[in-house]
Formats: sequence, structure tokens, C-alpha cells
Amino acid sequence: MKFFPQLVTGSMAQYPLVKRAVYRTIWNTAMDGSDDRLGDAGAERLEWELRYEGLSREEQERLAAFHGEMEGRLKEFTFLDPTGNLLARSGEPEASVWEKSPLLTLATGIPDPAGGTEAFRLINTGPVEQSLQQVITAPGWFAYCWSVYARSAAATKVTLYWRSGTEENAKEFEVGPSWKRLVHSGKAESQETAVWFGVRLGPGMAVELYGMQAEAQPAPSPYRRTGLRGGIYEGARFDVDELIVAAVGPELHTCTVRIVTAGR
Amino acid sequence: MKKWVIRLDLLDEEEAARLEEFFHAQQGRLGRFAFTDPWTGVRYPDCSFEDDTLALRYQGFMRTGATLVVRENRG
Repeated sequence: MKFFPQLVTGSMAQYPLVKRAVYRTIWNTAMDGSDDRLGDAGAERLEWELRYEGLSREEQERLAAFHGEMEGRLKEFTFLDPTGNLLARSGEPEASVWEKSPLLTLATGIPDPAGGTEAFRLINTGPVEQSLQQVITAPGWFAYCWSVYARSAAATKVTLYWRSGTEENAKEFEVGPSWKRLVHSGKAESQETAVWFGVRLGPGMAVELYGMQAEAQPAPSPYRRTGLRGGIYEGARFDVDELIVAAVGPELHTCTVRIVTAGR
Repeated sequence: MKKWVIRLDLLDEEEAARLEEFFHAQQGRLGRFAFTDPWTGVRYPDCSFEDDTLALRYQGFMRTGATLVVRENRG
């Protein structure tokens, strides 16, 4: 499986970028102004237009090599949406995409920092550490930012981790009664293509969490709640057969890449 | 029939994601929804998007833009 590469900075894209959602509706308007509509499910697609500036020689060569390897539009690859949250069902810890340790109790419907009730409470009722985690299909060698809002009535400690293969990146945070965004970012070296993002609690610990988000970039952006799918698109392709790179100075290159994927 | 051209700038990433989710839920101009005219406060119960494409322009951190056209349906 091939993945669209990150830049040396650990980002997938640069500003500005454009994301398009495209549908096709067959629309028949009658004489009286009423209409009949039919959606064409096969025409649904998402498009990204990524404009890169200031690319180093290494970055432009990496991008050009990947475009060559994909033979332009011919081959499919996996694209991690730079505008999305990679986790699926980010506000539904009870969903099956989340693996919950057996002695971890979960209560949902807790008031959250955004004014809703999408926070949830985790209590470790066991004698050993317990965790809540989700695995995504993504490169173990990318830079990631894993973030979640947390609070606890009593001072406690929470560990955020991501794991790929045998390599684990973990960071412990102190949590108090006020909501605080915990952010754990960095880069791993694993060559696996599965990454687990998780929260770990020590025995007897209780914590309220909200806004679980994983991003393929070094720093967090505002939380985006996800539904059935996160921002990982398998079956993406380049939208053009040619890649035009302009050298505008020493170690300074620009280019625009268009990526498309069917469905949503 | 009424139409509203809505130009949105300075959306943060969460707002942009919500807008995209709503557009997906409508499947472009296929779906119907209620829209409240921001000028008059009048609620129009049967409206649709005019276009099958939503372009979100991410200009910078918390600086996302989009232009939408909402139209009132007839019958």
C-alpha cells in the first residue's frame, strides 16, 4: 500500500488549499416549477488542490518520485486528508471502532467544553492500566498529532500514546478539574502501516474526555467530530498525468497537486 | 422563487467541517432543508443548494472560505 508523502516539516499540505465535494444530481423541472431529482451515486467524489511553495529540493524530488511511481493518474494510493480528523467516530467511544479494555467503565452524555454533552467519563476499575484506543491504516513513519480534551474532579494522570509495530510514543499528562487540551505530537520510525492512538489510565483513575483527534501534522487544529469514517482515503489518485514543478530559487520550488477519490 | 448567495470567510476548521458534513448529508442539490433568511428572519421550509459542488478554500489557520447558493424550491 502506498501513501501520499508528508513534507519534511511533517505536514501533508500547505495553505492555501482547496477541498471540493462533488455530487451529480439529475434535475428535471416541470412547467409548473416543480421538479424531480435523482442522485447519481457513482459520480460522488472528493478533490483536493494542494499548492506547495518553498519546497526544498528533497521535498520536490520526493513528490516527483511519488508521482512517477503512481504513473500519474494510473495507480491508487492512500491519502490522509490534511483538513480532517483521522479517527472515525471520534465522539462515540462506545462504537466498535474503539477498543476498550475490559475493566474500563464508560459513561457518555457528559457536558463538554463546547457546550454540548459529547464528553464521556472513563473509570479504571481494575488493578492494572486500562486503555481506550483506535487503530487506523496509516504509515508508522509519519508525524502525528494526537489530542483530546480532559478534566477530572480529582487531580489525576492520563497517558496519551500512539503505537505502530513495536514502537510506542507515550506522554503522561496531569489533569485537573478544568478542561485542558492534551496534545501529544512527534514522529515515529516504524515501517508498519497500522497506527494505534490511545488513552491509558492507571488503576483507580477516572477522567472525562472530549474531542479525540489524530492528525498527520505536527500541531493540533480545532477539533472536528467525525462519523462513520475518518479522514483516510484509500483509492485516491492524482487527477493529472503531469506534475509541473517550478524552481524559483535555490532550494525553492513550487508546484500544484490535485488529488481525487471516488465516493466520500 | 428566492435565492441566497452566501459568502463565508474566516470559518474555523470545525465550522468548515460542519458545513462539509451538511453538504454531504444533502448530497449536493439533491436534498431539501429549511433555511432562515438572515435578513428577515423568515423561515423557508423547502430549500436546496443550487450547486452539486462545495469548494472549501483553506486560506490559513481559522481562515476557511466558501460560497454557497441556497434556493427556494417550488412545489
